[in-house]
Amino acid sequence: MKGAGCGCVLLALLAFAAVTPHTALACQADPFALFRDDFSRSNAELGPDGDHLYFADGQLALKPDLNNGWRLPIPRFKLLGASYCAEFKSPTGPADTSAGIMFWMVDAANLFTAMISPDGTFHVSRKKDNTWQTLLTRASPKFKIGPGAVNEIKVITKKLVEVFGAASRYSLSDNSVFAVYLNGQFVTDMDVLAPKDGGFFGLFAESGGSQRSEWRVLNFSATALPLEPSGIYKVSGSVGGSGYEGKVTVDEAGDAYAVVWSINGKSMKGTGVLRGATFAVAYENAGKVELATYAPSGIDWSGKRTNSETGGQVVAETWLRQPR
Amino acid sequence: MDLVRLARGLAACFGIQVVAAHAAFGCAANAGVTFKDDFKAPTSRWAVDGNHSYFANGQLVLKPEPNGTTSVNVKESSLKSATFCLDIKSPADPNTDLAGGLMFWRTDTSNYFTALVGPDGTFAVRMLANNAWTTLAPATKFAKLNSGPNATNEIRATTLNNLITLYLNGAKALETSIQAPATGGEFGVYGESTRDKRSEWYIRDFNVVSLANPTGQYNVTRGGVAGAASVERRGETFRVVWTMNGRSVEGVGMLDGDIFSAAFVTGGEIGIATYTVSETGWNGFVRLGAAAQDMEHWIRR
Repeated sequence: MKGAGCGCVLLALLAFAAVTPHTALACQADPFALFRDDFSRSNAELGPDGDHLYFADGQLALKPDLNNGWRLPIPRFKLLGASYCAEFKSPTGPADTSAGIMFWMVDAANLFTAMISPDGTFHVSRKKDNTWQTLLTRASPKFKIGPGAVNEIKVITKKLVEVFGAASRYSLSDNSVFAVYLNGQFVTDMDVLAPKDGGFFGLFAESGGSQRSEWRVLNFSATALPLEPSGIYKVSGSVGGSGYEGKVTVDEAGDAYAVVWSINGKSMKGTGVLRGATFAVAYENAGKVELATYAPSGIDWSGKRTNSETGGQVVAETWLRQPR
Repeated sequence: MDLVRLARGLAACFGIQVVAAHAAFGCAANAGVTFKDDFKAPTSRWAVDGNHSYFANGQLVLKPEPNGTTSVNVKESSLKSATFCLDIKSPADPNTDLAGGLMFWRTDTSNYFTALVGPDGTFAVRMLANNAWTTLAPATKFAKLNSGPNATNEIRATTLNNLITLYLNGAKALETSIQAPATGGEFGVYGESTRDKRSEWYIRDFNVVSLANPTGQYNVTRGGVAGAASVERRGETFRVVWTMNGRSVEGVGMLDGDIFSAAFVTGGEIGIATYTVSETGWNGFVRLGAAAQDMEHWIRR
């Protein structure tokens, strides 16, 4: 465990303040999603077997065996920080069944789930070394009850950063946080020791002992989220062959970020938004509007800025995260 | 939902127009292509090895070992959303237990996708993931395909986020959901040999059009308001002009893979717009000042 005494809790709160705006979007199709499927077409890669998993009525059907669960890991994509959203239609029949989103899945014996049951109960569980641990069970007033009711589950996972020891650099924390939303309303968040490299994600459903339950999934999406951009950075770049250095601060501002560059005694202010793995910032410089875009590089960012003074040429720039 | 349906309808119309024009031209390159090769002169872009893949008689030849496969990628050609077109001639031998065609979304030698045709008049879509094959669309007979030894067919595939559309000799053969790798991958060609001899596949024209090109004119909808947008390239950046409610606003944009961002100022407030490529243009969010962001759809004219 690195960084005893780190500010993980504070950073977790910071992380989820940024998450809040997403609730308004619900499962609205995110154009920046890494994975999204409305199941209007068959998707052979998901491995439909015609029994436990199949496509019907423009929906995905999950029908586990009696007293069993059925996992649908989405192939090929492994994520640490991400936003997942799915809409589930409850089955007819007994309520001893559940379905939801699976995340941070290392293998069949190690995974997390956020699931709902038709009676309005909500469960967050962890399977560790093949043993299930219930992290939370509660009834949710936001839940729509009964056969055919459609409910939306959203899970957001974030990796934290922390400063440790006397080092002047931030590092990845061993801890991560996840938050769960039901029908657009916050339900819970937890700070846990997540798999270091994240894991696969997907869907999970369970049947009770009296009847095989058929859950329908109307849509499912996953958007990769880089580390939270809020922080202080040492910035460096080059304009016309001349290098420069300075400081950049990024602070949350509603559903966006306030960005301030301080370079050679000059200050530039802008507004940034996080879209998938791209952090885009609009700012003004000498009365002209400019644009910057960055991609994550570990806990840092690298990208480019437009520069009206150099015509259509862009300026390469690197941000190195610093302690606050 | 209605917007999505409308967009799909327009996409279908656009697709028909593209195919109709395309059928007349074959896979010969038109203006605006991202990559093109008629193989009249060898180029260093193709990773040929001179044995299993080489240039001959104005064609790219694939000649795998018996019961083997060969793939050739175009070096440094990574794309996610694009339209690929190639003309491919089947081997001269009468065997039909083989296939050849397009390779796309290649991240390394063990991970790529293929859209293939066979000498028996079938097509298939397969994925190689960590060196293991998965069939995404099984071998299916298609009446528009030419079959038999030396049959020439045109493969045209559009990859867009999680949607692949396949046209064969100008006719739509398949539309299916397949998740793209996060940043797409390289493209190229793929061929198989029959069990007992080395088969020879011949690739003639090959061209690629990236769909992540923002330059153009668009009809725009944002929060129930209709308008227009135009984008023109300025070096490494783009000039963007929105015209909404009779007012024009100018901004500056940049392209990062499949994401197009633009900054603008209006009414003394700074705005930021981010879009990703869609079936018909671009979709994304616009945020002005401290106001909540609006979803915006661009439909290419």
